[in-house]
Amino acid sequence: MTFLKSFFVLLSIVNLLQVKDKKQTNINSLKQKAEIICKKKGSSPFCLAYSYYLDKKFDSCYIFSNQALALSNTQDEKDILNYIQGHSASKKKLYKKALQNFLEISENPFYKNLKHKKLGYIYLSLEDYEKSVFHYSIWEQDIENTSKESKRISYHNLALSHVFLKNYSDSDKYFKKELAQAIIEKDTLIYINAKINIANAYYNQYRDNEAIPLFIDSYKLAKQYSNIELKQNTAKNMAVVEKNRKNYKASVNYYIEAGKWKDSLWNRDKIWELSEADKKVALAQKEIEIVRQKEKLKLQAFQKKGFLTGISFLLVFIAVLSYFYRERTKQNKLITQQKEDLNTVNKTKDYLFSVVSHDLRSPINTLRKQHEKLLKQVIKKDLIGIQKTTHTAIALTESTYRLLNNVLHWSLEQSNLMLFKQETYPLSPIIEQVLYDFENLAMTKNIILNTTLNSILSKIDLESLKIILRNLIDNAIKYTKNDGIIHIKSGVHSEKQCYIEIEDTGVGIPPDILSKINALENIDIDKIDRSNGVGLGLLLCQTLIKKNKGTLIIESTLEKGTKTKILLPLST
Amino acid sequence: MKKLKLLLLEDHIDEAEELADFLENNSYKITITTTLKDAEKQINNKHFDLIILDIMIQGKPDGISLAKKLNDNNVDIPFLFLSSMQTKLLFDQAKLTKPITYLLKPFNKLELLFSLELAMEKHYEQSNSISLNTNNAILSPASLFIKKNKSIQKVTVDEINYIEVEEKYSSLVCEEGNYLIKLSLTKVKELLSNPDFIQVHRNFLVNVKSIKEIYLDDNLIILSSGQQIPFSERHKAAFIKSNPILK
Repeated sequence: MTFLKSFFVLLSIVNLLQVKDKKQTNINSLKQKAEIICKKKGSSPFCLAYSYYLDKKFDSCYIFSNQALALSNTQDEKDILNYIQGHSASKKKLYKKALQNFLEISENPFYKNLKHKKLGYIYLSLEDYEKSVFHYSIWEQDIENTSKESKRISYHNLALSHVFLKNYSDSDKYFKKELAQAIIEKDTLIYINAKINIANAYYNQYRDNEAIPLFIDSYKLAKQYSNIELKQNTAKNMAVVEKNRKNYKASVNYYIEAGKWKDSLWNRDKIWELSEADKKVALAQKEIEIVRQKEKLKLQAFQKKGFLTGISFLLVFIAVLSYFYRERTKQNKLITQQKEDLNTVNKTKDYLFSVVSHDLRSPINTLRKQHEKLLKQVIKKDLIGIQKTTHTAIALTESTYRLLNNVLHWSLEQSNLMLFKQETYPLSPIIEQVLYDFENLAMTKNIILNTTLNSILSKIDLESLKIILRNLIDNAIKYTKNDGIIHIKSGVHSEKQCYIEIEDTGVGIPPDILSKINALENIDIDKIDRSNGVGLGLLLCQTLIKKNKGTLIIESTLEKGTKTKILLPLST
Repeated sequence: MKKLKLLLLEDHIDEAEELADFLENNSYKITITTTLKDAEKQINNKHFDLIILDIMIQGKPDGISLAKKLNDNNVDIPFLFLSSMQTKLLFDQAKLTKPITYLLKPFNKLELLFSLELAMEKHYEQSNSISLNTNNAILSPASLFIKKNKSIQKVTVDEINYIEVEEKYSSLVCEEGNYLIKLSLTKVKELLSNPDFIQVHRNFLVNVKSIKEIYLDDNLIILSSGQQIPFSERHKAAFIKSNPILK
C-alpha cells in the first residue's frame, strides 16, 4: 500500500519532468534542424505543427503534423514530425499512436537516442516492461547528449520497469544511478524522493536492513525540508516500518506525527477554505452593500428627478407669472400713454372750443354788425361809408379766415394728419407767392412790402413753410401802423442754414411778452396766454419751424419794430 | 415755341372756367373735363403736356384713380393735384411711383403757376431748374420746356442747334436763345437718344440738321445759324467711319 502510493507520486513527477525534457541536448539539436527546415519551407503545415509543438498546443500540433507527414519528402522531416506527433500523442495519453510514431523514426544516429528513450517511456506507460527495459538499454548505450534531468528520469523509469519485472538487482542498480543523478542535480526534493524510491524498492524485496536507514534518512531530510506532504509521507513510511518491526510505540508516534502533518495540510487547506469562505462572506456583504448603494442611488435619482421636476414647474410658473406681469405692465403703460394722449387731445379740444367760442364768435358777430351798418348806409346812400364798412368787413373776414386756417392746421398737426415731406425748393418764389396774398391788405394800410431775395434752395415742407410765412407776415402787418415799411429778406445764414427775415417798423413787443414767446420752445396749450396776445399763430409757427428742423428768432425794440428770423436747413 | 396743352379735371364748372381763363391768359391751352370718363376719353384722343386733377370729383377720389390708371399704363404725362384738404389719408390712397405735386385750395395765381413748374420738374426729375432760374429749361425726349414770362412753353428738340457743356450744366442753343439744363452732356445724349444729335467734341453735341458746312481739314463745323463748332479728331474719325460718303 505504502509504496504503491509512492509510485503514483513518482509517475506524476515523471510526467512533470517530461516537459523539461526539451532542454535536453539531443532535443536542442532536433529543434535546430526543425528550424532550419522551417526557414526553407516558409509557412507550411510543417512549420505550423512545429510552432504548435513549441507553444505546447498539442492538439493542433498533432493535427498539423499529420498533414505535414502526408506532404513531407525527406526522412529528416518525417523523423522530426514523427517525434513531434508522438510527443503530442503521449501528452494526450494516446500511447498506442505515440508508439507507432516513435517506431517510424529512422535508426539515424541523430534521432536514435531520442527514439529509444521515448519508446522506453511509452512501453512503461503501456506496462510492457520487457520492451521498456530493452529500449532504455539501447538509449543507455549513448547517454552523452542526454540532460541530467532526463537521465535521472530515465534511470528511474528503467528501475521501475525492473521492479515490475522483479529484477531487483537491476532496479537496485538503476535506483542508485537515479540517486547519484539526483545528488548531481542538488535538488533536495528530488534527492529525498529518490531515496524513498530506493527504500521502497528494498523494502519490497524484504531487504529491511538496507531499506530502513534510507527511510530514516529521508525522514530526517524531510524534517528539515519545508514540503509538508513529503514530511507526512516520510513520517507515514516510518510508521509502517516501525509497525512491521513491531515497535508499536514508535509507530504510533510516527502515525501521530504523520497525522499532525496531515492536519497541518488539512489546516492549510482549511485556512484556505476559511479564507475562501471569508472572501465569500465579504463578497456577499459587498454585494449587499452594492445593492444598498444601488437602492440609495435609485432613491437619490428619484429625489433628483423630483427636485428637477419641482424646479422646472417652479420655473414655468415664474415664467408664466412674469409673462402676465409684463403684459400687465405693458397694458398699464399703454393705458398711461393713452391717458396722456387723451389728456392732450382733450386739452386741444377744450382749446379749440374756446377759440371757436371766443376768437371766432366775436369777429363773426362784428361782421354781422358791419353788415347791418352797411344795410343802413345803403338806405342812406352813404357811398363813402359803404366803402369804409366794406373794407373793414373784408379785413375782418380775412383775419377770421386765417384764424380758421390756423385752427385747422393746428388740429391736423396735433392729430398727425398733416401731409409733411421735406424737399428742396427755391425760397424766393414761395415768399413771393405768400406776399401776393397780402398785397391788398398792405395797400389798405399803405404799408410798403419790400423784398431782398437771393435765390436759395432750402429743404422744407412747402405747405408748412407757407403757413409759417402767412402767420408771420400777417402779424407784421397787423402790428405795423399805417405808412410803415415791412422788409423781407432771404439769404445764407451759415454753412448749413439759410434765413428768411421779416423786419417791420411796428409797435414792437414788450420784453415780458417777448420772453414768453421765446419760452414757447417747449410749448404747451396750457402756457398760452391769449389775453396777452400770444396766440395760436405763433404757437403753430414755432411747432412747424421745429418740425422743419429750423429755428425761430424774434428780436424787438418797443416803438421801433420787430425783426423775425427763421433759420432753415440749406440745400445745395 | 409752342403753348403747352393742359387737361383739367374739375367738377365745379365755375372754378374750372375761372382757372381756364387765367391759364389761357398765361399762354396755356386748356381742355376742361368734368368727369373721369370724359378725361380718359380726351387723354386717349389728344396729346397733353400736363394734367391738372382735382382729387375729389363728386365726392369720389377720381383724380387719384385716373392718375393711378395712367401710371399703370405708363402714360408719360406730369400731373398736378388740386385738393382742398391737406390730409395724409387722401394721398396715402395713391401709392404712385413718382412723387406727386399737389396744390391746396384756395390758391393764388402765383402758386398755381409755380405748382405747374414743380409738376413738370418732378416728373422729368430735373428739380429746381425752371422754378429757380428763368434761364433754365426742362428737357424731355421730344421737347424742351422753357420759361417765357411766368409760364412754361415748349420747343421741339429739332429746334436745338447744338448743345455745349457749361460747367455742371448743359447749354442748349436754339434759334430763340440759350437754355441751361441741370444735366451732364452724357445724360443729355442719353435722354435724347436721337440719331440727329451727334457728338463732335468732348463738350459739344450738334444737331445734324442744322449743319451748313464741315471743314474736315480745319476741324470746324459751321451751322446754318453761322455758329462755329470745333470738330475734335477722335469724334471726326468716328463721324467719317459712320458716313462712308465722306471718304
